[in-house]
Amino acid sequence: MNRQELKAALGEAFAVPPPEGKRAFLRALPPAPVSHLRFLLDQTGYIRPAVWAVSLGVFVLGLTAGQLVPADGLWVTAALTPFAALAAAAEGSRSAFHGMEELELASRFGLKSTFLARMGALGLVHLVLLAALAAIGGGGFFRTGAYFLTPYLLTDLLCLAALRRIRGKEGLYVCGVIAVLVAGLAAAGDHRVLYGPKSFRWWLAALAVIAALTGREYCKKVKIMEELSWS
Amino acid sequence: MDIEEQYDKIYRYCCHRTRSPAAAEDITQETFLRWLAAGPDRDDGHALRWLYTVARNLCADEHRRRKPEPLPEELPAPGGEGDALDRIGLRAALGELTEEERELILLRYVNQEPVNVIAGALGMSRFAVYRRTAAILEKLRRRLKED
Repeated sequence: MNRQELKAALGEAFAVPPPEGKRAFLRALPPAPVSHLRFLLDQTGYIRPAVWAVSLGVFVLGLTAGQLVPADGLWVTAALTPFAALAAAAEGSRSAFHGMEELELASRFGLKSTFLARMGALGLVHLVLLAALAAIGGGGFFRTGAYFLTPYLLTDLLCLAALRRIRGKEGLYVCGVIAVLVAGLAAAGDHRVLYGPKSFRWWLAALAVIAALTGREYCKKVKIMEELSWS
Repeated sequence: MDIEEQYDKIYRYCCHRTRSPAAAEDITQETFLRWLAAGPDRDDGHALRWLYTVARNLCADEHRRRKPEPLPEELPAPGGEGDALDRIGLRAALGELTEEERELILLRYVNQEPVNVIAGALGMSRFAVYRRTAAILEKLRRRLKED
């Protein structure tokens, strides 16, 4: 008997009668509790690779534009951020897109929790990437950050509002149009005036209003999900 | 960690420690209930070490409480005459090992636990586990060759 045969034979030598109460015990077990961090990490794993690819693509393109054409890098990156927001909106409406909302509402981790976890993870990654772009690009961190964050949040806000009214594929197509329009808005006009020091206070005001409205839109979305689970 | 998958391993381990399938099943279930009550650790290696340590302690308590019952002598696996002789020889060779040596062999080669899990559960160094399991396996091979 060689070493491998011996190892295989040991399994037989240590054979025991099958457990009789295993099935009943496993059936009676409550589901194992999951920590918030573990839940967040688990849900992050379910975000589609395409969404990460778009996010990374926006970051790389923004970085490249900043290096190749420093004078135009600012508005090019600002015009790219709506597409990262579109990717996030597409991820957020994935259940509705596939008609799986009802099933997810009835599952162990409800639609609200998974939505908040995934959007939280994606939003955090986007914020870090935009902050990195703002730090690398010239013109001051907060100023550049405001230029990048405003079109991003505007797209997010409009997409959330659109997806609340138009469901399924059509909603996502509308979001695509919104992203293109916001990108066009960020790229149009005289860039020296639009991204100049005099316009910055308007950017800040717009950012504050859009951020508040986006927050309100997320609250509405969560409330709808809660109502759905009760109905 | 998949409880269903680990249940059989812990049960097998308890069965060989207590020599009583009924007691082994009780201890296995008690081990998992304690693990769930303690807040399950998702790190599989840590969870396994924890499970084996608790199961080992519960088996020791059970051993102190009552007399062990012998396991059935018949081996369930079918095979030819040569295989049967080999199995009998192996069982006899295993009978000559100490309780600790059998425990090591069971954990490493039957339950196929990683060395760090065994080291953690039995309070040994990883090197000691490597060295001792290799030595025991060699001892068994020599004993079977003699037969």
